[in-house]
Amino acid sequence: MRFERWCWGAMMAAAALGCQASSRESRALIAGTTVLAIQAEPPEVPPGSAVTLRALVVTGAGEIASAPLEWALCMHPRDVAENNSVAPECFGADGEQVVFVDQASSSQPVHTKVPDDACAIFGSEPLPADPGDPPTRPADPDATGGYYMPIRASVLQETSTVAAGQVRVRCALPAAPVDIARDYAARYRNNENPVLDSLSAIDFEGNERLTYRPGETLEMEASWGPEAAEPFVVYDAPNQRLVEVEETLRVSWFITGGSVAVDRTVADEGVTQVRVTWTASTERQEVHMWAVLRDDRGGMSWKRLSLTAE
Amino acid sequence: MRISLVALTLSLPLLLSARAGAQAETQADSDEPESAESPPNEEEVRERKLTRAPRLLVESIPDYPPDVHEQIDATVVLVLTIDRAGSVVDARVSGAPQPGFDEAAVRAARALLFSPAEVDGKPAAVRVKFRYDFTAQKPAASKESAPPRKSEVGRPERSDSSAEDVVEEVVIRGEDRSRIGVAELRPSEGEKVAGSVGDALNAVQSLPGVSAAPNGSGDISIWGATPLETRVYIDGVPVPALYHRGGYRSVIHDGLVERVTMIPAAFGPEHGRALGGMVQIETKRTEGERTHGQLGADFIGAQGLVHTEPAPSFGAMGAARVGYLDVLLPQIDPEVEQVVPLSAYRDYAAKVRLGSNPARYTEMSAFGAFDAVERRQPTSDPQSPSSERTREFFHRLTVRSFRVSSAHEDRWGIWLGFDRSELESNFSDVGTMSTTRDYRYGGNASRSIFVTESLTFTVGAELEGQHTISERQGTLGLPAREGDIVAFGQSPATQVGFDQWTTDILGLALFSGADLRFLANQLTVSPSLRLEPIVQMGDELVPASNTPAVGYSELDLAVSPRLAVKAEPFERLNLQAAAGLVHQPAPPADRSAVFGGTELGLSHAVHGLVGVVYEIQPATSIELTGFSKYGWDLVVRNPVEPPPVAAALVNGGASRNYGGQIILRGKPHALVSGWMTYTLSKAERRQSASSPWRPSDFDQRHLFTAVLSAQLSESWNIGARARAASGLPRTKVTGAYYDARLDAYQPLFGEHNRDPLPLTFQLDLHAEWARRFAWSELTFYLDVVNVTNQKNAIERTYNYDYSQTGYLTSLPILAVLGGKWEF
Repeated sequence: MRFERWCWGAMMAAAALGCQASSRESRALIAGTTVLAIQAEPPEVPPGSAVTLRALVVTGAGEIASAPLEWALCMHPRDVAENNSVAPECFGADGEQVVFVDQASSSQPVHTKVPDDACAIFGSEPLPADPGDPPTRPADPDATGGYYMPIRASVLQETSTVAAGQVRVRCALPAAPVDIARDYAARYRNNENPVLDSLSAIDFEGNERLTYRPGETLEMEASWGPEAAEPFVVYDAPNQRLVEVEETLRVSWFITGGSVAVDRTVADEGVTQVRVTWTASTERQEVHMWAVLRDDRGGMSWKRLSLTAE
Repeated sequence: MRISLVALTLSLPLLLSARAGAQAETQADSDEPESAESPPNEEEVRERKLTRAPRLLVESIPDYPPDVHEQIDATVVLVLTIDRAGSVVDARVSGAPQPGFDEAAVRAARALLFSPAEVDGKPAAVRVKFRYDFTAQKPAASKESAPPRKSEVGRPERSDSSAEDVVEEVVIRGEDRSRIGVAELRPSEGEKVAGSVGDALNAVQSLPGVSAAPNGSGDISIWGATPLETRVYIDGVPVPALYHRGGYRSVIHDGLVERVTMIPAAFGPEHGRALGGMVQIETKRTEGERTHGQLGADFIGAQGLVHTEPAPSFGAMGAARVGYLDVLLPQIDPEVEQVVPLSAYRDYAAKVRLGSNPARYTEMSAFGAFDAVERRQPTSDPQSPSSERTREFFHRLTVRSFRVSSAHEDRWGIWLGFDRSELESNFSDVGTMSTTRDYRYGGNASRSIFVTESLTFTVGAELEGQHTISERQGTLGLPAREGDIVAFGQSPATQVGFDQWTTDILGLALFSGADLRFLANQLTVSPSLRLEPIVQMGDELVPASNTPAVGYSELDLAVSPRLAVKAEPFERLNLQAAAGLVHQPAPPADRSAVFGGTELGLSHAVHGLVGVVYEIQPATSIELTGFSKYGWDLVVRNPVEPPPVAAALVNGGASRNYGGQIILRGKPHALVSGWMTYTLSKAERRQSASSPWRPSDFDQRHLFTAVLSAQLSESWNIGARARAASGLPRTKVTGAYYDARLDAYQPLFGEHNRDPLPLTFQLDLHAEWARRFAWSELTFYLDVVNVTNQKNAIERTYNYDYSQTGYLTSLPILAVLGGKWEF
């Protein structure tokens, strides 16, 4: 009813926004095969560096350890005005825009190397133009000053599931005065994956639980150490200065049963644990829960918790 | 008058409303009313020849007599005596007395101004017959002007003038303003159009070929052109938009507006800088016999207007409006503002006239509008709601003068303006900030010389400049441009840029044109040429970094030859064709070294129109129009991946819009009028010469509108509007992938713009009740929008992983009640 009243408000406003069927569909509930996270270790490297890639692949029945997973590097930059983070050419059928890395089971890490020209393709250091041609526009960084090389992970099953991960590539600071660029190079610390220490279910009495009663409400709690939110410097272009900031951490919640109050939780500065309310369904089944902790520079880690019905 | 009837009915068809049309029917003889000389004898008269007929220069249309309550049509034939200077020195009713109508007609006729007639090559007084047609309407209807186009030839009625006068057949020819495709709207008509919800100018969205952009922006699209290609003028001064945000109120009080003219293509030489259409708002002349005004309110906002003329040589009027939806709706539901962009709008306008002579006066105007929208939309993360905050306003100050004489008509004006817009948004933790300050200025001057009866020559100049200071931080793809492929609700890219830049655009256009009439004025050929050197300057050729910024400047010459041909082979048949070149500089927002391009030149288009109007009977006609527009060097995203520095936008795009339109207007009953229009068109674009053509974002293949209005009684007026339109093109989402870094699904698209939204249909009803009291009038109206509660799709929506689709629908059935008190 609340939504309908919004619609009436929209009508009366003649604001042309109209009414939209509610799309508050929970994305936390896992049904089919889903890639929940792709971790690069280390998450930020200079071009030419080696990284290890891991994926979290799950289904409604739990984590999959043996799903065949194909890894590839996408070598096509996104259009500068593209909304997507990865160029659509990387998902084309022809495969011309990707470099095959490995095929392994979903539980196995794969190793690869960030191309030497990653900053030229995806970053701030485009190759010099041919004589007579104008220089190429460098890519824009994200709000944290980062550039990313995309990775494609395809779960090779009957129904193909495709996901993209991204490795943050350390590139030079563009469009900044030389002294600031030097200072930036000296002060900037490459990102490290935040470590999620624990994921637990807690009842109203504060007890950790590994079982639940159908229909019961529990609190899921994810916690990490204070070092997870790293400080780093970012270039403040409007004011032409470097600014010291701290990473923002957020937790994404995933479940195979029941419901959660919110799908994602942003941690305030200095907070090292967050909770979300989980309500069990009335069915008696084993429920798997995942929490994925992400920083805003592309680092991540995850934990799993399984609850059985009493 | 039939001419302006054409334009009038074209715009707002059937309306009973204001049709106090003037029609010169029969002309007469020479006359010398100012002297008491004895009339020449008949032989003298026959010997002398009328060598130049009087031309109507200044219109004057009477109000429908307020004391006539029967709501009847009436025709008053006057015999006007025009002196050697072209002024009406006497007006007498010819025919049976019609109380109320006669007085109104005589009063209006005295303000007419003609070019002097000539007899044997010398100015002479003449007497003409002149007819006013009053159409039933409510008493307080506004005035409506319409010059005579052509009259019947008549024998002299009287020949009692001075010896140099001649009695001969006379043809009066006024300004023929009818142009194929051009639509005029008067507030007295627009306020009766169902769905106008308290603002007569909302009826512009019902004009042929016009569609409203479906994003709540208030923009309009004419014949498939993008809103950025359409210019809006108020009294010859460009303004940023026709409507406030949301599109439910125009930026100027409709009570100040004399007429709105929508020109979809093939402009005259006095206009440029618009590849698409043009909307011109002309405010009323500040004249009246007494001080009057109005106060009104509805659910959307409140308004007030006052008009006074303390002396014949001085008139003033002013109006202001304020919107309070942003206050009212949250009282009903505090969360409504989270999902609905409620504009806290305000606008004002004031105008002063100096000079009592309708043929010679000067006006000073100031007007402006303000919009503020703030909204927050919940997301799956309560701590990161999407939010948007915009503040926009513009101010204009203008002085303009009008002088007309028997030999020429002079117009000039100068104006100053200041625009400011601020945008802050945060979608999916991607922040966007944009600020623009725009100092604008301009002026124009033109002279039309009435060389002979068959030749009018016009020459003029138009200056327009703007100094713009911009700052922007955010992702390059937001806001989206025409041609960008996006899914509704899709998160913007996380890559962000920043730029501060200053631009100057200055153009001085010189234009001239001629109206050449042949074959007893049955054929008019109007060639014209507009030359406009445009200087575009900026302070930043490439993004500033560790080196000082280097500016740039470039000079483009816009050469715009244009030609219009009109023919009237038969009395009720009017054939027209027009073609011309138009040019448009890139807006300052596109000239960023980071977000746009600094080497953007002019965009160009060629317009072609051909049409025929057949007047089946008075007030009933049919018009067929074929149109074509081809544009090139349009500003588009650079297809090169990655693009060169400072060239994210380039002049590489092309467009082709073509189609046909039929308009049928009529008045099946004295108190019932209406019109129907159907436009079949195709609007296509391509990003580069090597790209395939695809439907434009504003392509609307079928557009049908029907409007009906009926005056049931002295107090009651009802109306209906039906509108059916093809859905706008969208690009199908064929799949999606999960971005593990952003924890979001991102769509993969199919063929560009090949998946249109469903057809839309909307039926609106309007009822109005008015009651006149001794010195005031009270009006209430009820607009019921979307009576059938049709769930028209205005966007395709998706769930979080793009596996399910739905529709964002337009307004369900809605009733808006409002009222106003006029005194």
